Amino acid sequence: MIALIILIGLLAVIVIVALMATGIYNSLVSLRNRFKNAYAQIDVQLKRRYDLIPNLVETAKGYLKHEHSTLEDVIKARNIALAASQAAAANPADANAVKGLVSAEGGLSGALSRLMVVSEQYPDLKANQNMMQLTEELTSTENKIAFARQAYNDSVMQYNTSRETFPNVILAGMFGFLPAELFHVEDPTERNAPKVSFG
Amino acid sequence: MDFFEAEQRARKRTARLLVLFGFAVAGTVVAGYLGTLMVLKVAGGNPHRGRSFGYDSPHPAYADAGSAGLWQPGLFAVVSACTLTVIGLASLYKWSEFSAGGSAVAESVGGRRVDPHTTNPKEHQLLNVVEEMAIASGTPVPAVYILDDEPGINSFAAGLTTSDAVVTVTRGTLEKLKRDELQGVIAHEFSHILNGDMRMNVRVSAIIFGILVIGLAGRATLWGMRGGTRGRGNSGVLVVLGIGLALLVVGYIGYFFGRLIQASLSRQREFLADASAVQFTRNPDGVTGALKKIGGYAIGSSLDTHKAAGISHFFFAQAFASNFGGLWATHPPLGERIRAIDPNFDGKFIEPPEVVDVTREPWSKVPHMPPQAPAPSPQAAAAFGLALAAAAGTLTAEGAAGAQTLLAEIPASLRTAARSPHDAQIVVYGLLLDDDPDLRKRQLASIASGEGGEALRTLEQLEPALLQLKPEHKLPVLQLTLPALKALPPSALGSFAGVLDDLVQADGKVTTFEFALQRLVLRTLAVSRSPSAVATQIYSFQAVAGEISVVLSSLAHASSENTDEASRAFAEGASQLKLVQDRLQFLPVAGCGLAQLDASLDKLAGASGPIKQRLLMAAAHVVSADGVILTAESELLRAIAASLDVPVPPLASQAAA
Repeated sequence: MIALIILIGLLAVIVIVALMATGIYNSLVSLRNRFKNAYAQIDVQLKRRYDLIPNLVETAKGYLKHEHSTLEDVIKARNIALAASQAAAANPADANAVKGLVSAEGGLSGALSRLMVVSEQYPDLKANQNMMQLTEELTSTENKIAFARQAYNDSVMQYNTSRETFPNVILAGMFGFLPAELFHVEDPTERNAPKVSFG
Repeated sequence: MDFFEAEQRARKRTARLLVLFGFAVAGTVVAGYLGTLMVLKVAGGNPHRGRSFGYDSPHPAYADAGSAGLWQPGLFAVVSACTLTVIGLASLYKWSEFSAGGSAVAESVGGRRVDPHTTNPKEHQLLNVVEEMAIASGTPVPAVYILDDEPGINSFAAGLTTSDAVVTVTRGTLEKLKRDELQGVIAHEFSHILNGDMRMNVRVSAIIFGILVIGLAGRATLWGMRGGTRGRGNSGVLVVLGIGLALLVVGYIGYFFGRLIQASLSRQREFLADASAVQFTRNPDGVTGALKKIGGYAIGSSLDTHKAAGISHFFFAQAFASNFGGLWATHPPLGERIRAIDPNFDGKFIEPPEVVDVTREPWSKVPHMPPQAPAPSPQAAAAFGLALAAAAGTLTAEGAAGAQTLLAEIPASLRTAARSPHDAQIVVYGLLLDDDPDLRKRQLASIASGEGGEALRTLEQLEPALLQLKPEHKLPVLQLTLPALKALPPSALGSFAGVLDDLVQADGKVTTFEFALQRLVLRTLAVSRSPSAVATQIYSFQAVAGEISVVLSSLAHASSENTDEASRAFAEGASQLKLVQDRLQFLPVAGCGLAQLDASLDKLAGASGPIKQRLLMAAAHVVSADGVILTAESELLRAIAASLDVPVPPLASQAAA
């Protein structure tokens, strides 16, 4: 009789522990997927920005006849950044390629914000439907890039905290949940995503 | 604000409240048990009336209830099983109402799904912001709905899981908030989605509903007894009545405290969502800006439809007035929420932007239109149309309808020149050139000395176009130059202002046009250099009554040479300012010259938005009092509007619209 009670008690403990372990394992997996997804978003949005820029320049061209150099700078910076991103994509382990991409992105952001400042002075251009749409898209894309990085870092932090606390740390060790790295911005100009806004 | 810490604090409090809620449910069960026990004791061991909702079902378990002690496990088991079953069934029913998913909830309150390929720029922006926040919070992109008929600022998220979640905003949110603020609101909603607040809320609501059902069952029992007393034993009736009463009391008390706990739960979740909104946007000004606007607008966050009352917990801000002095409020007070994010909040809400948007302001529908207005009736409507037209930059009668035609009438060479900062200066000079040849020569000389010979050559090219220009088109042309002038380097500004002054003073007197031009240009440039120059210092009408008198009087004199007519026009305007009407005096011409007007406008520039708005309204009434708007009047009105920093829509944007 006593043996039966002990057996049932043991079984209950095992079941509870197993349930808890499943819960911890699942939460670690979902946290890991969240930061992976956030990382993927960064790439998606950078690409989207390269696609938007030619349209923007094409629309602005008609109005900004006197601002040729500004427009050319934007196109140049965009092409450099595109090339750098392809180089980095081909060689993700190459620290130099990644560094090149980061600085190219910084250059592009700078050129874009100069273009926005210039176009502020052309009310006709500002009122242009197409231009309004494109700047909204660009603002949104810039935001998405920033938010994707931020979400990546936030979820990495959450994941790391979760995998380091007890009892999760035991399972994390058993199932190979490795610590994740934060996304660092190397170039200080990159830190300040250009504020693109038309009021 | 340390949002991570704030989030943790809110989570901890939520957990505590949930425990408390658990106690409340347990308390209801215990109270039900004690109530039953008492009734049975009082009834003195009547074995044939059980504690159940069908009051005539006998229950052998109570056979000895009347004589035993306080603790009767059998009775307790039955009572708690019954109570929990009722709560459980009622909860299931309530739960099923919401399980249809977020979109069903949004549609039930009249939401319209935003088409992902919408061409409306505002809606498109909303979709973008939602996508941004989905990325920032790491959740799937939800469907987006708009409540088209709600002018208040509010929004809600619905859906039991992240995958069936929807975000709904009111039309007022789209119209009244800036992009950053909209982002803050949406981020707040995403926190509700991410943290499963709706799921928690529906669960809690369902349980509370279950407790309420116990009370309702008690009431139904009492109600049913009215007809059922005949032919029953006296003590039996007593037991059933007692049980009904006990159920009623327990149910309603449980409901009251349940709602109380739910409300404080909801308030904690709001703090959590605000903190998360800052985490997602990393911009505390977005959420606080939206909250301040809700506080500033009279309509705030309240909703018209009462269909949404059942889901008031899910909204961004309090959607309906709460009962019990805020104890049942679903949201913390605005000031407290803002202070949680920004401890330095000074308690001042954002007042609605005092833009007298003359293209939209229904001047013709202004209430309190004095019936004795001297304007002949068919002209009355036209007169207000004219007031509108004058304010919007078109000075002819037809102009009210034809800003576009007006733009077309301005020679192309002038329009092109007005767009470059350098040539725009020349255009402004050209507008000031006098017809008198001698005077003109002197003015040209001061241009040459200020800007060099090249400026004169540009001016020569523009001359035919300038000569062609009708007098009433001069100010619209000036307006076209303003954006370009703003781009002038600070070094060029000094000489530009100097030349302007020389040209204006060339003949030793200042006309209304020159006055308007100078004020418009200098004010626009000053504000664009340092926006802080428009800081509000004066909040009381009384403090500026003298200045208002000057402004209205000078307008009145411009409207008519005849003093009587002028004073009538003045009275018409003054009647628009009820607060200070008796303190406004009609001044003689000498008391309200351009010099006094200049000084008064400088002071009024520091007045608060509502004062400026009312003043401009009054000014428009003065101008249109006699049904005729002279060029001088409209020029002055324009100068006044510019001095008060009321953005008068530029022609360019009208043409584009």
